[in-house]
Amino acid sequence: MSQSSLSRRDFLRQAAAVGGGILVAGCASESAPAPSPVSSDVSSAVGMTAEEILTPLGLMPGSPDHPKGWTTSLPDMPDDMPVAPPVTISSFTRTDADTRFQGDDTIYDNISLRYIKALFGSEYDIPWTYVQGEERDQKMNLAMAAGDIPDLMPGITLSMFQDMVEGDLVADITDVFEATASQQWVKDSLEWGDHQLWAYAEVNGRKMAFPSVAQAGQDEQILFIREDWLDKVGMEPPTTLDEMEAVGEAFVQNDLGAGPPGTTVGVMASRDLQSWYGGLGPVFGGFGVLPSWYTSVSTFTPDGQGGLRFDGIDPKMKEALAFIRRWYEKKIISPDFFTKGYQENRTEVEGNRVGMNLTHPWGGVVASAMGSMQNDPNARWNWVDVPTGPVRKGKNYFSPLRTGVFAFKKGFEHIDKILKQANFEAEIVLSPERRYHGFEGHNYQWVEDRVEPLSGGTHGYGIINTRGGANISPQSNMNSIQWKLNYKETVPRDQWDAMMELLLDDPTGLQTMQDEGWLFLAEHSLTDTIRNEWNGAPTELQKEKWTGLQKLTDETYFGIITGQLPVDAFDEYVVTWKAQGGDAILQEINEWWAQKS
Amino acid sequence: MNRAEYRGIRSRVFDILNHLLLIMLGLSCILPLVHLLALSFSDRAAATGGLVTLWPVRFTAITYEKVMEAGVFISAFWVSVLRTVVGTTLQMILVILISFPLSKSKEEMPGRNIIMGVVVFAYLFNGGLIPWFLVIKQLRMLNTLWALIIPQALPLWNVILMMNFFRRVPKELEEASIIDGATYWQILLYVYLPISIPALATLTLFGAVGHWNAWFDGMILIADRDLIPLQTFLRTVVIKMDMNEFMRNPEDFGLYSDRSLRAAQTLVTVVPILIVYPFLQRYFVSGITLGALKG
Repeated sequence: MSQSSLSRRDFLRQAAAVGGGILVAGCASESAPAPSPVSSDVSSAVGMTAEEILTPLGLMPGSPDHPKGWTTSLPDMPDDMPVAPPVTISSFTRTDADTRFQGDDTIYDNISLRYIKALFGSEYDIPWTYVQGEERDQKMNLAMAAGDIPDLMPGITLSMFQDMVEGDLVADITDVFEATASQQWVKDSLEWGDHQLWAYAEVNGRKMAFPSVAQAGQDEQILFIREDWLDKVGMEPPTTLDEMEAVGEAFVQNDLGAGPPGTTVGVMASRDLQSWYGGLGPVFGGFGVLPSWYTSVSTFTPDGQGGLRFDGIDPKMKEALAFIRRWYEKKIISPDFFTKGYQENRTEVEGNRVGMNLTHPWGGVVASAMGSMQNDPNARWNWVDVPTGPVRKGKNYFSPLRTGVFAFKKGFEHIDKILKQANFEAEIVLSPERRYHGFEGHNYQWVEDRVEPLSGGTHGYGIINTRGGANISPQSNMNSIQWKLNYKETVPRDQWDAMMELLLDDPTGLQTMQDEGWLFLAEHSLTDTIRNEWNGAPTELQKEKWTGLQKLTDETYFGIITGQLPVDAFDEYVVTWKAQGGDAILQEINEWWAQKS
Repeated sequence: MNRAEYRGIRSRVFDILNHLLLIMLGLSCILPLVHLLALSFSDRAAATGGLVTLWPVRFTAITYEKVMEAGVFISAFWVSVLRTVVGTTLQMILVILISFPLSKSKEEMPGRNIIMGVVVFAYLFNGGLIPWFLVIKQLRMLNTLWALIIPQALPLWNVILMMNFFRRVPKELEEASIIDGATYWQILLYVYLPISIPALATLTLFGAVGHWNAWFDGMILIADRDLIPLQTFLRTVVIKMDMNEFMRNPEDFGLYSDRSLRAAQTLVTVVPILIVYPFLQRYFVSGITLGALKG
């Protein structure tokens, strides 16, 4: 058997050699193709205008040479820019279904990057991309572990930012911000709403990041309603919650929905009692209270005695729940609403089974009326203000402060370059009269004397207009809409250029409906809303207790609405909520509030 | 009616009911796919409005154009095919080469228990995401196709399965081969492997499905657009927004509810694996009926 034992050893050796060889072969191949460099010569361009720099490179926005074209007027160049030789800034970016480029452009080399490099001498290097926030956090954790923190970290979560501040990993931008940011376009814009936009990015009075800003009124609701259904039942749009109940009941009793008999929904309701699409926030708001926004730790409102109260345990909440319970009994809201989120509810609305939907103008037009009218050409939608309840007219106030921030790596030398780029871009965003509509062949194309939009096209890099990221002012969208509507009124129709025709011609009336809705929300955002005053970072106690309390709240609320629990179960809930840590949390929040005030 | 006729009718009724039941079971498997197919060829509004059942409403193929847009789809498809073929082949070679010696006793294979201990330890405990990432980075495999293949090249659970299967092969077969002068390589190739076709087919299927469906490693380890595997790419095409994130750009929702697009994506993903299944199934049956020893 000696031969056998020899061959066994041989066998093992050979097996190991084969396996190991393959592993080694795998490791040997390591060519990581680098993103191709953006090509443009930016030397000696300091002192030139933006147009002089961009035109020879074919990077100037606008279409001045077409008979119905328009000219883009870019702001003055920032001092000492473009930087030569160019500086490299590493920063990740978001990509998703809507990220599209024309021609051979990619997320790593595209018209926006070429434009930025030509104007500012800043070259963005994208080490990785992400689709969802969770993925970004995961990759950030890996980047930190590997010691590869990007220079600019757009939109990172608050908790990650706090950890990084504690770990001394992010740059203090206070001084460079004071010295570089434009007073008019950046500093003043970020002072919107009494400095509240800095709530997260400032730590102990120092600016440790750039804030992430959304649009004013972005998630606030108005009441979208089927006008053709109103005509059928001979009723007027409701102005009070009782009228809304009567209209909803009439819709249901007449079974006006397009689905099988008995499936008409009078008022859309979502499993998230407060949400931007089908949330019943304004119904609760009519009683002067609001439930939590999704699963976030809210809503804490002034208690009239200088402190904050938790709306969820207020006696008025009990009244609101009893009121909605009645809607449930009358089948005004869907019998299984507690299982339905945005996706399912949108299916109901676009399938023409719903009469009223509390949502914001985008949700009411793009995510409702457009599909609904495609499926039924006779469907007609319109919107009215949210109805008044027994206490007031009230809905959720949307804070344009996003919970992410734009942080910079500690020791990164070119923060001033990013801020100068931001000054330039902020001026464009806030000046619709400059007529920046992107690039021909990327954002739009000419078809004879008309322009057609192209999907995607440009992508934001830096701290303004990044994908899924920031804006500079909560008012910028309103500015654009107002400017557009003003143009429509003041410029005769035959003098419109092709881009304005694209933006203003509105055969269905839906675009105007959406624009007017936005303006209405922005104008009423502070008066008709209930504002959650608590916007601190969650404490350890809250992190530990909130999930349980939220579960208790959901079970009680849904139980009461669906009749599984008596309305009086609310009283017991309040006692349990307080005992299970609610009181302690409320105390913490009030301490925070006292300190803040 | 005599007894025989009565039995005949009973048996026919049973047959009919049996067939009906089987047809219903079959339909319950096929109809969701037909529904997906109909959705994928339907107009967006009709799909979102829940109007599509088993036939497309307002027929359009735009979803498929969208899925395959930008050329990345094609390259991603090939990356997935490549990683599945190379990755599964490599997996099978390594699993066989390691599980065969491990299936021997410690007398035949000195150090067997130590190696087995390492295998079991590595199977039960792993270092977690960050060490895993750092190792791959240090080996300079980031952004290479190998990052999708090497880290998964030795699935230890498969080693344990294969080893147990080899152990069940009758000892006499090996002894007979040794008497006939076969080497261990020959024993493995001509005796063990042909007998183990059911196990090989199963593990190949595990490996292929695992590679085909994997998206996480592509997301973490690959940044280069040309090397992104299909599942990772499709995730960026049809991604759902996280509703709790306050990132509600109106644009973000343009495709969020695009049920027709998601249906097309699902079909494109499922079809290649559906095609592989019946071929491998043949081996399950023939492998099991293989007789090795008689009497």
